[in-house]
Amino acid sequence: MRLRRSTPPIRFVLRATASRPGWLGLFLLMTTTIGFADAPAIQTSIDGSSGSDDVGFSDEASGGELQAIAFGEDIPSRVREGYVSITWADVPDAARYEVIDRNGSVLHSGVFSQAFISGLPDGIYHYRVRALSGTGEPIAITPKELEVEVSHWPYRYVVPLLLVGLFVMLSVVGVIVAGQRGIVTKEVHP
Amino acid sequence: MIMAAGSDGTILSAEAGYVLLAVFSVLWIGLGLWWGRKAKSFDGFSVAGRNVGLALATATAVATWITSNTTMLAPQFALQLGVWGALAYCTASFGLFAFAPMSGRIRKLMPNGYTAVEFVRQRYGKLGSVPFLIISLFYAITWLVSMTMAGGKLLHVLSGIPYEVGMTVVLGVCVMYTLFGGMYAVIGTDFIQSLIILVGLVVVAIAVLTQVSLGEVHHTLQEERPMLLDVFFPAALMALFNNMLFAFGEIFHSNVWWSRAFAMREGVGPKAYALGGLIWLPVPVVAGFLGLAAPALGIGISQPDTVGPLVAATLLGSGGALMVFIVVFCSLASSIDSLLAATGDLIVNDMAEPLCAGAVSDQTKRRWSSVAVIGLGALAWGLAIPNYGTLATVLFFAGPMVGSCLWPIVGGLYFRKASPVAACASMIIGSAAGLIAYYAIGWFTASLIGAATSGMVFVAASMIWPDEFDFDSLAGPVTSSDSADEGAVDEQ
Repeated sequence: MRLRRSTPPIRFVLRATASRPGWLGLFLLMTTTIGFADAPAIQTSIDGSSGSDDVGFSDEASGGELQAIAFGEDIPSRVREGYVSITWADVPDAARYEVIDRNGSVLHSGVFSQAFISGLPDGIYHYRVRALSGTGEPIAITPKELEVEVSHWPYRYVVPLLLVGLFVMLSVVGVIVAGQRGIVTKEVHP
Repeated sequence: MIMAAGSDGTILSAEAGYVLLAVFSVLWIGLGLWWGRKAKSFDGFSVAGRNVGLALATATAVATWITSNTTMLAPQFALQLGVWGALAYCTASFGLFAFAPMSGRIRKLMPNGYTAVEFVRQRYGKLGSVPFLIISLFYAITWLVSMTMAGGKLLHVLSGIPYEVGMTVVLGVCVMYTLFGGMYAVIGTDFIQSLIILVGLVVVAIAVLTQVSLGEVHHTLQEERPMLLDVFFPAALMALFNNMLFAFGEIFHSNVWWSRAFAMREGVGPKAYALGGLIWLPVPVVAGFLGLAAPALGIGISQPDTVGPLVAATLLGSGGALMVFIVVFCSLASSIDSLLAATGDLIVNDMAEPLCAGAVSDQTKRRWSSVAVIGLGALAWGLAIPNYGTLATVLFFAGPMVGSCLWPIVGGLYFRKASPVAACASMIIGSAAGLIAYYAIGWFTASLIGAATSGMVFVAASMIWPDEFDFDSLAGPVTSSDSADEGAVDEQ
């Protein structure tokens, strides 16, 4: 496959916080992690120098040159919620974009230069984007894969938050009920 | 044909979008002028003569709570967080249920009140009212901006109308009719809008269910997006109580709900809010299903907050797009107008008036309200133009602050010992903790952490520095009001 870059090579460096060691309590979490810059970071580059291997997408069907599409800069390399929003640069003549996985399966097809993919279990996912012309021919593609790691929040975070939430909710209802009862009691027995 | 799909892949043509915009703009402004013709005094403009009956009161509660957040964020929640996401969104109705008894208490304690900040100022003094005013304004503007953004996004997704044009028209129309009619116009248009929204949602739900197989949706999700069906989806479980507490905080603190409590006839509030909650409860389930159906239908979603309208419109074609357009436009307008009116009151009553040395006449306050509404509209426009973030990230940024107001309001309404120090400390520390959680964990935990921390601080500080508040002091003197306003709304 022959790629023609329409723009000079751009190096995208994605930063995301690495997993934080251990559950040290909500307050520790809350008081220690606001500074993202200080946290260890995972860096993923998609400029071709150290990114994932080019698995090759043939443009034999079109037989023409394919422009290179650049991924957006703010795509996280690691997500904990099971969803990711992928963005890429607009291709002027594109009628439609497709997001494809390593097997070539189309995961998203749309007219805007953005895709939202959700419901992903733990794992590592590889995506590429191709732009199609009005006749359905590929006219551009991302030269390298985008790699996204999904690692859901551990239950040691989930269970305490659920319990705290339940307690706060019951407390609010309890206070309102007690308050209303107090008013009624006062009105009957001032 | 005007309804034909746009050339850029949108479901309605831009011409159809512009025609719909024009029709509904004229309709809302016309109705606003008609209903608002008696809003000559500040009392009429801000609390509609304090005589709103049950039907209008219930309708305005439903319409205001069915915001673009319900029609656009509930499907987004489902697409992001699966079945739990849709259910989590339903819990927002619990906020209306919880506020029902509180609204009766508010009306009784402050028969001449106007705003939530006024209550906090009388209850806790400056120590409590300054942080509360900042949070209230921040939240109101955030909500207003997210609604304005939703308007622009909706029109762009459905008809390709440029985002900037769509959001400007939606906001401009709401500013116009709120400016002329105040709370009269807001409640009157809310009644019509709530009817349109509910009928529209029922039609969309029936139409979608006849075209989509539940089994197919389930199968696709299980194969391609299994976490959306997972009972133990971590982020969804973390968000469950967060959304509920966010809703509690939103309703308890926001002047949108307080101004309605003041506007309702005595005894109406508790019934209206409870009924409103019941009517609202199934709406996020219907809207959420649209989000879950998107993968099975092969609809590519670019921005998750547009999934609901996009799925309905794709499934139902031009007619569906038309229906969605109308429903979402109504839900947007019913929230934007409420925010403009309630926040305008807050600016006049709690910022401008206290700054004046002498007494301010009713007519002067009425004029100030108009200026405040225009100013708020201009501010929201300026902030919405950059189209920053999704609706959820914009709105949920206010979540921790809103969640931390919950306890000062509930405690302040019912317990004499709730003190100014406790109110102030709980709002500040709760907001800070929630914001840290927002950045450290995610938006889906911020309100929960804020409310929990605020609660602990509030209880501890009230025990250390208890107050002995006299609730009778809240019943202020009778304000001047235009007698022509009295009893006007419920008879229209």
